[in-house]
Amino acid sequence: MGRLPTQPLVWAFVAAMLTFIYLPVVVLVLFSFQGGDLPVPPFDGPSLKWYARAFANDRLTSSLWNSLVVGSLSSAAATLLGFLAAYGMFRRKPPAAGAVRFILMAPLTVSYLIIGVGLLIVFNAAGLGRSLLAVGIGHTVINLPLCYAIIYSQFGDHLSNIDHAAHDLGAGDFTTLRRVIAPVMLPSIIAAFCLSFTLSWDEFIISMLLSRFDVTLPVMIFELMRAGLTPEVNAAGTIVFAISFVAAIAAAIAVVFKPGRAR
Amino acid sequence: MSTIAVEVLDISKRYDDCVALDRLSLQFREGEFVVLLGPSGSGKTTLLSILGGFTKPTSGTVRIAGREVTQLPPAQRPTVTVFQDYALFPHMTVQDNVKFGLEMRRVARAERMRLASEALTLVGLQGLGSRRIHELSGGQRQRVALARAIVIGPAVLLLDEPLGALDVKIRRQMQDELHALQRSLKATFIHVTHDQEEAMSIADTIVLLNKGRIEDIGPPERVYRQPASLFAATFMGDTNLLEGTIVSVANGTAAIETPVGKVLANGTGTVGAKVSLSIRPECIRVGNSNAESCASLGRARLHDFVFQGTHLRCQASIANSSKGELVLRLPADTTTAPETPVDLWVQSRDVILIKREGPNDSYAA
Repeated sequence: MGRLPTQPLVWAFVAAMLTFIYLPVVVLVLFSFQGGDLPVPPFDGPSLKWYARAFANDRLTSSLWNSLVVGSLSSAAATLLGFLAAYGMFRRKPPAAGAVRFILMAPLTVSYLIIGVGLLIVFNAAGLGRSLLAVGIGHTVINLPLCYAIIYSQFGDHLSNIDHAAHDLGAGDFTTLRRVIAPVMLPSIIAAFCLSFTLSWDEFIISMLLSRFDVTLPVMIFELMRAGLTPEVNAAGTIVFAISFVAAIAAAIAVVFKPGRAR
Repeated sequence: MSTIAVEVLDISKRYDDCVALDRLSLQFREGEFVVLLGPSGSGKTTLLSILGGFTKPTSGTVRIAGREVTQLPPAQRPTVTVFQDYALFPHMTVQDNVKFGLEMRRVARAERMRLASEALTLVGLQGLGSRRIHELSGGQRQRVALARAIVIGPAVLLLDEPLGALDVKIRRQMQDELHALQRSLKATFIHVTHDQEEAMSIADTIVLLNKGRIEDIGPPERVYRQPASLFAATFMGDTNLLEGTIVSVANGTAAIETPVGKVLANGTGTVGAKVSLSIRPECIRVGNSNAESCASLGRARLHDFVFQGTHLRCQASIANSSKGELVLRLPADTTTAPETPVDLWVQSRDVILIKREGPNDSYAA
């Protein structure tokens, strides 16, 4: 197998790839601790003054709060709907299951721009207009297919018998779902929620199109950048990065570490 | 007088491209231990699933405890299924698993507690109620599944290859325990397996299925000793099959001309009819016999001895016959030297006469 001559090349490639991916993140985070007024070398920190500035900016903190609310509520909705859809597809095996699955997954293949514009037109026609609620609905739309796919992939044959056993012992559909299926599926439900949250958290296009006065954090950062590039933007970006990082790790832990899973 | 617990009338199950069950009719008594036996694809699991209410038959009716249940969901039937993979609820403790069915039946809390610990004691798991499922061994999980099923007092317990995942020693032990459990509960047990030894060791009645049809049904001893079909003879254990033609019939004994010579068998038939003979390896004896009920199989050379603990398995090549290869099971202490010519004989009641009617497939393992 791949003897020495190729080895340095492989490592060089890996190093180049990792640098390419992570250097911008490292630079962003590093210059959020900048002491001066511009996020460019030389680095003269570390200083927390831009974080202080960011948290003193009411519009920035309220957009942070908006993002948290939109992210958690839309992810909760997407996860719940995805879970129910997955259970229905798993248990009932509906006629034309292929068509249903296609409709469920289709939003994944449509660009966010088109979904955003489409929703904007629909909301305007319905008199709902642009609001955080509209952004939340948009995020539910884009995250539902993902939640469905993650949760459905974890429904296996052993669960089919567990479902049968619960019904056999006298539990109705709702009781089975609440007492047996949801707890057993909890790891993938948590994973779906966390992943959905990270996507909602740094989603820009739909948020931009569907929000008006109350905006989410990515939209706020965009506005800050139009005013000029300061390390405050880096600080806000670092906060975004840190929170998505935590959510992504939580999702990974939920999938890998499945508490109470028999086998 | 015993009442009918389960009655299956003219049940068929067809899938798009195959027939899983073909117009099956069966009756099981209350308190009977029934084993549905057959190779994979024989329809035994489908039949169990129809009894449990998880599969709807294409046609026919199912009656359990005197009530027609064909269209009823599993919960409304007096049956509980023990699944092959146990289907325990992994997020609950042993006790909560066992109490689940009682809770669904709105049994009072204190009563639930009492019944659950009673059921756990019955399956030998007293004191393990607070364990988590993943802390248990395979055999213990099997017992939890049993306890969870019997605690709600089903009239009929359906067991889908419940011992398939256990290793041999625990499997034997669980067979005995299942048998004892069934005796003490006096419930009807319907147990699916593909293991004929398991079937013989626990069943009151074996239902042997093949390709969605019943090949044979009866007590284990009868099905083993007097199989109703070629398939039954070959599936129930090692056997020697001889093709032959009836040459004479007298006093309930038929003489059949076979490749190893003329063999006597208990049974009747028309002279000239083509038949198959099945002789179990352990029925063939070595030595001389003058008894009238015995038939000589001629002189043979023994070879390929395999020591199998309880017995010695070997091949016998009948002299002057190209098709005369027989399998023998001799007592473990047999000292016959290989390659020595010996006389083989068999009692005519051990020669099973099977009529050949159309394509009657034998079982090839």
